[in-house]
Amino acid sequence: MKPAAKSKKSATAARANSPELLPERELRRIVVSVLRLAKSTGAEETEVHVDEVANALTRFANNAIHQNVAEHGLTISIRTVADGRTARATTNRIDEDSLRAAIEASLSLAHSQPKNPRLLPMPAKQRYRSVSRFIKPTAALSAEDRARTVRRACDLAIKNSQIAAGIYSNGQSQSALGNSRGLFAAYRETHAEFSITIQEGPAASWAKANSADVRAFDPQKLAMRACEKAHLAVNARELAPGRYTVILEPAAVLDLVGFLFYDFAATALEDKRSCLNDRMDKQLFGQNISITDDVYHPLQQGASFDGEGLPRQRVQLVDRGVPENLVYSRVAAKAASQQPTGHGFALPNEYGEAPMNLVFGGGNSSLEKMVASTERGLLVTRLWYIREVDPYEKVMTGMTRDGLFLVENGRVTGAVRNFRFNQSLIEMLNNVELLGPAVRATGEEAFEMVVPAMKVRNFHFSEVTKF
Amino acid sequence: MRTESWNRLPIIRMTNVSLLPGTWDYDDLIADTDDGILMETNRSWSIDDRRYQFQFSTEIGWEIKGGKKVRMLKNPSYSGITTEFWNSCDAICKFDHWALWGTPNCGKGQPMQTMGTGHGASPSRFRNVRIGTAFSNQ
Repeated sequence: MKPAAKSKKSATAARANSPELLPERELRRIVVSVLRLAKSTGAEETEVHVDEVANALTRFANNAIHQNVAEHGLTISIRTVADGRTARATTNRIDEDSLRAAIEASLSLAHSQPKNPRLLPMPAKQRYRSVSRFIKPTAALSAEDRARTVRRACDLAIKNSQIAAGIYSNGQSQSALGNSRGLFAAYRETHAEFSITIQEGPAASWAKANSADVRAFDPQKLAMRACEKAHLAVNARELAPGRYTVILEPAAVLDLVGFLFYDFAATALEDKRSCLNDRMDKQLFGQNISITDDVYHPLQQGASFDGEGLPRQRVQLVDRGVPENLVYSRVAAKAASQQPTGHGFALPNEYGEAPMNLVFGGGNSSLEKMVASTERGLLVTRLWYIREVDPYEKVMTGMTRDGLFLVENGRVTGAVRNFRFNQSLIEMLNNVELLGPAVRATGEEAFEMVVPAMKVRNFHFSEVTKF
Repeated sequence: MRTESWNRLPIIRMTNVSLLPGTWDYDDLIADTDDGILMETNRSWSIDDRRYQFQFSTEIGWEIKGGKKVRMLKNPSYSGITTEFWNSCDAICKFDHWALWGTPNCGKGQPMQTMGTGHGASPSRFRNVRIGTAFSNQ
């Protein structure tokens, strides 16, 4: 008897775990359905957000994969306005009865809200600059592809008698936003991320990267770097706390300066909870510090429209150390007699707006040059558990982790035990001596931004820990 | 083991860790303290990735001198090593003064899982604790 031929279908099925997002016309259909159903209710205005996410993640620890998870979901979020009141309700079902129920829930919630005297009519149709961040190889990455990559990284750790842990994820997402005044906006993107922690005895190190394009980073190179640093970090010695010159890798810079983003919100200044209150248009940082918010930057991600559907503008937040501009939602702009910049959060919200695509100006230096130029200092891989101690002086506290190395006379000479820092970001950004090129950085405390490595003098380490 | 929702794997997390009440009356504890600082209302928190070195700061405090609350203090902070800190605890107030605190948004895991936590405690005294590091300039 002839054995049954291997089914082409099964091979296809094995690769077919890359889900397909709905076509944009289907998102538009859902928006149109909601708006049609809302017309027969008491809603004076209606806004619909449709978000579809398809994510998968492979997790490994102790040099082996121990979880592989994937999800594919759709969320429809409906905001209605009635008599100066507004509220939002969400569903993940797209049949008409469920959409109708969500509209009614939104209206019922709206009726129980106080009138909002600052509530504006919804915006009308807008024009958007297109951004293209849907990368097919990222979407097509399968569980098997991820497993093969993780296997190579773990094999390297095993060869080095080290232990690897981390994640490799990829996904696709899309959003559509429409309202009863004819506005419609849609956006889709892919994302991939690889993060690895390597342990060798009591020492550890870490590397991470993400991008819309899975080809933009090399997981095995990240693994190799983490393995090298973990080995170098064994036998860390203790140094006294104090003020040191530090060389901050981009992830360390990101997780610190990331805490500045909400200070550039107009609503934060109106509420007097920004470190920029009474400091706008003054020389606050060093002249080598310039910051923009730019969703169109090639290393950035995210939609080119905000939570109300306004197009995002590129805003020069800081120019050569002088904070010059803020970002404005429609409500904050009206209150300040300014133009909205397209950074508003979806309504209702407490915070107004924020720049979500920060890009720091870089320089011509490099980590190697920063090390070579340092007589005595510390090379910092990343920072951890960063929290705000003083919101106006922007004093942040946190720890170093995953590789802290002493630099002496232009060379890395060994590992040191981790420090706690208490450091004002305002002071720090006045003490930047060298900047590397701005790169897409990813950490654990702040969302991704484009930031450079920095060499900073007089960084304040206040205490040392036991490892 | 807990999971945030139907679409997440359970992960190990301790969402409800409380300190058992002790035997001290709050006013007696203040009166028994010759030289100290009473700190209230946490405002910042940070600890290393092996949970040794920590620093917390609070909104308000009072100096305690000779068993009495005297001068109000702004943003007091304290820090230390976890094991040393808890070994320095020498008084815990009784259940009459116990309150449940917690945070609504403790985050862990990849993908992220957010969960409320509940942590109860009575006022307690700790000896030889380092204070003021958050605002030190050394």
